[in-house]
Amino acid sequence: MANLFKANLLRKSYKVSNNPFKERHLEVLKGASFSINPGQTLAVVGESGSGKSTLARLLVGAEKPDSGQLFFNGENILEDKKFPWYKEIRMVFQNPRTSFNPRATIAQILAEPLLNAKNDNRIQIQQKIRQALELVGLRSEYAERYPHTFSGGQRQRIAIARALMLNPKVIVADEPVSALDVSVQAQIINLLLDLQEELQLAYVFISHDLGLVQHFSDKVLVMHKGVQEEYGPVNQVFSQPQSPYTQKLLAASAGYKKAVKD
Amino acid sequence: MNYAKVNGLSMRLKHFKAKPSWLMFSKNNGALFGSIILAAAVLLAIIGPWIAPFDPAQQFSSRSFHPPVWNQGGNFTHFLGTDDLGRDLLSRLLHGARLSLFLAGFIVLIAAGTGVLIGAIAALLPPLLRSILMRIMDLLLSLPSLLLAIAVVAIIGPGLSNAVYAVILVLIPQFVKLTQNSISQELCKDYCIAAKLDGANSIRLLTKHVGPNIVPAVIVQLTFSFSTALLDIAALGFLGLGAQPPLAEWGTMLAESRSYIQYAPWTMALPGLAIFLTILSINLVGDGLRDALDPQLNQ
Repeated sequence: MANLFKANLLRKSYKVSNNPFKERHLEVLKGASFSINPGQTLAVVGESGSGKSTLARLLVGAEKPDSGQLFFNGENILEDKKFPWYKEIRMVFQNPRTSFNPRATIAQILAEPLLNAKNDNRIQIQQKIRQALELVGLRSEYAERYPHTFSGGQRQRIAIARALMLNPKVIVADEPVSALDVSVQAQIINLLLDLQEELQLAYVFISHDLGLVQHFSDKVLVMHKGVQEEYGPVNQVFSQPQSPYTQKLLAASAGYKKAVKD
Repeated sequence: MNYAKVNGLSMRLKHFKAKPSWLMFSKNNGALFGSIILAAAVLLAIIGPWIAPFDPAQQFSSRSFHPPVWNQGGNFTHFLGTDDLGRDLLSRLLHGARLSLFLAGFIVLIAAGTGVLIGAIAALLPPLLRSILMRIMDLLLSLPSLLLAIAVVAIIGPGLSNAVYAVILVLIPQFVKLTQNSISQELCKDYCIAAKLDGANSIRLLTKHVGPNIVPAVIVQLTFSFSTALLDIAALGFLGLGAQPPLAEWGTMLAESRSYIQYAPWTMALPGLAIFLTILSINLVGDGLRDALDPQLNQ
């Protein structure tokens, strides 16, 4: 059986000079590959600038890779111009303060994907908004309020509700908890885990918190300067890291933990 | 989760957060003063021609250079005195207020509508075409607005309607630049990327998501352009390129009384004061609006 979501050697470079005679490109992603199935979590770890967020943008269709393939249910979705990315593969942003239109109510924000999908009438949309808010542990009365009246954790719940509006199969979360307090981080992670169990979601979870990744994910993809250093089941990678970079990363994390304990 | 507590927090947040723009605006004394003057000017412009004691073109040949009421020899028949041809200044100023404010409003609305539309289209164009369009706008902006207006009038000929076209043309690039810049800034923000990932197409993205967020910037620009339009129309009138003499227009009135400044200073001072007060009030309102609508200052 084909995997639900599979990436094969994704590459991406950006133009860094506007001079038409001297074009310079910076390759930020040099071939990332992975596959995940429903109910599984893939963690993408690496330091800042390693290409994690670029990978996230490629996976949700915000940008197109230079080369490589992306398969959803066995179908090459980069070839398919009509593939409805926003119905199947959704994103949760890192910063819940900037990812909402400041002049839209929560109801308008959550209705946006439904309105674009054009499948529901107004009453159905309202019902789905209520259900989605309850699903992420918020009161349905919140729908009429504006994003800036919520705390960071609540906003990230709303972001998750927005991602779930069209019953997607894959959620790409770009460091969804790194902008939150530690106590709230745990709540959001638990919410994500509950939702995964309930809805059989596949997560691509971008993070630099190795402790979290170990607790949370099935597979891990280690990136360093755009290169895929290591990819495999989380236990294997953490117990027997093959690449020197992964070993260093784990040692640094362990050293940090030890320092904190001492 | 403790809902009651969360709800309590939200109630308190609402209390603190409720710092609406008008509150910020009304705390600004200058803006308040400006809006009072501006409201008075607009009211006079609307009802002026009905309360004006005389026809603005009516000449009382025996009463030329009649001084205003506070000068020696003045009386209430001609409250603000008369000019060289014996025309009642109060009546002319009131008629001029309607003309100036109406024209400035018309100019600004047309210029803003056209400019915002071009700016929005520019934001949708491919980068090369957009660059060309925006460089043309930069070129137009690099010239002083009055100089450009004079050049346009010199080409299409003097007269009030041509002056209006010229000022519209001069004001459009400001709105194009503002709109295009604001849109491209907004498009980089997370919420726009999120809207795109929600499946919104470019038209929906611009009208539903970006649009409401650039309205404040456009409103502020509207007020400043309004004062530019008023001043440019008056300046063109003063230079003899805009409204032509019998018409009661503030700039034209200034130009007509230029030669009598020593003999009858009020003939020049009063239209000048009218222009000055109106422009000042609009700029104060514009400053107030900018401060009140700027989200960074508001937070």
